Amino acid sequence: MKDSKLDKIEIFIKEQKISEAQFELSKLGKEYEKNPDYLFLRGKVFYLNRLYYAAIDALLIALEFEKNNKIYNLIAEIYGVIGNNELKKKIMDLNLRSEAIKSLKEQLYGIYRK
Amino acid sequence: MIKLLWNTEYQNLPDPNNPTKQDLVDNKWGIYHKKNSDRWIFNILKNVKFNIIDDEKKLKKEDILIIVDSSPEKKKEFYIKLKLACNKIFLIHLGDESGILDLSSIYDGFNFVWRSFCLRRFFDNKKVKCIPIGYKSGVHLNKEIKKKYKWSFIGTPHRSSRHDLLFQLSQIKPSFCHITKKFNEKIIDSLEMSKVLSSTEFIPCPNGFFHPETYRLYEALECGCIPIVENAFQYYDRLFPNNPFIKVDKWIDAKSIIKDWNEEQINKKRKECQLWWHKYQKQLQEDILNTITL
Repeated sequence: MKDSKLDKIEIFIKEQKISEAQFELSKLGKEYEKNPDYLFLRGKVFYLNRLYYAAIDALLIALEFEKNNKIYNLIAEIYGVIGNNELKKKIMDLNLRSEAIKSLKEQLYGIYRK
Repeated sequence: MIKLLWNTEYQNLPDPNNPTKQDLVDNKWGIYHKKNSDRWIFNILKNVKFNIIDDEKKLKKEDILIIVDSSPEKKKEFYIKLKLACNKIFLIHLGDESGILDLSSIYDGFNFVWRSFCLRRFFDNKKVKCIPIGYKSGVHLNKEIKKKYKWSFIGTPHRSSRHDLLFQLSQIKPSFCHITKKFNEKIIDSLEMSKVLSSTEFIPCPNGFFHPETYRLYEALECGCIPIVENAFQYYDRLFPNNPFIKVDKWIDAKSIIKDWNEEQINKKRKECQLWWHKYQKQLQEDILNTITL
């Protein structure tokens, strides 16, 4: 990541220090709201705290700013955990993921769109 | 004498020539809260004998005043003036789902505040107590109706939770779904809503747009349904310790409950929820009376 604050949070997550990561994330201001790395880390922390839907919502917004494999993969993983394997498979598939996410977002009226 | 000024719909009216976006929003919400929350608020004030006033000129120095408002931050000076004109002043603050504003200086001007949409800073607060947002006016149990739906959902699938709820539960029949594209748009009226809820065993209550609480939970309780809430942030356990709601982290966990629970399990849980809701409201009514008349 290109940001030392986000790097620090990523290290906390790797070390399983989730509360510390959460606290550092909460200190970041509005300037991070459109930062895909920040949104990815938020999604990751939500996921580790079993806040599955908050995680998916954050990651779908992250995809608005950067189409990144790690974001797609984490969304797919979460859909597997919550029991939607059909959507998981589509998002894991490099040829289908873009259309699957587009279709999903069209059904979610409250997700931020650029 | 205790007097009540319902002030949600009397917002700073937008200047017709130059309305600010926020004034228009506040005005709309003020009208919304008056229309939808009056029955609930009068219910929690059931033990308090008060007169409704529509003009501060009807206030006397010895009076106790209860204000109901959804944008008190816009009327700080007005409420300071009212505090000087009466003995005690209390606020019931509706709305404020996002909790973005720091309202401490507004709340300081009141003897005590009850607010909906609890936030971390208001749990265990000595000056502020969180109250449920309650049910919408007009929604009530139709006792003669049989429970024909296993589950029902009326609302907007704005985010992933509601989308997943519909995905996971759609195979369980009979059910009732009324999906709207926008909040408060093409909604079914309270009479129809009462019929549907009174006919339903389980009501999944996904989190709201900004905040976990929605009217849906209290409408479910009011209509004798079993609510299934999201367990995110353990919000309901913090707001209502020892509540009997079914809590899930993901909607797939609700599937087997809705599908497989037998009549005995359903009736037992329903009675547990009804008893809890009845006791909770009674206690809240007493607490409010005691705080006001202490």
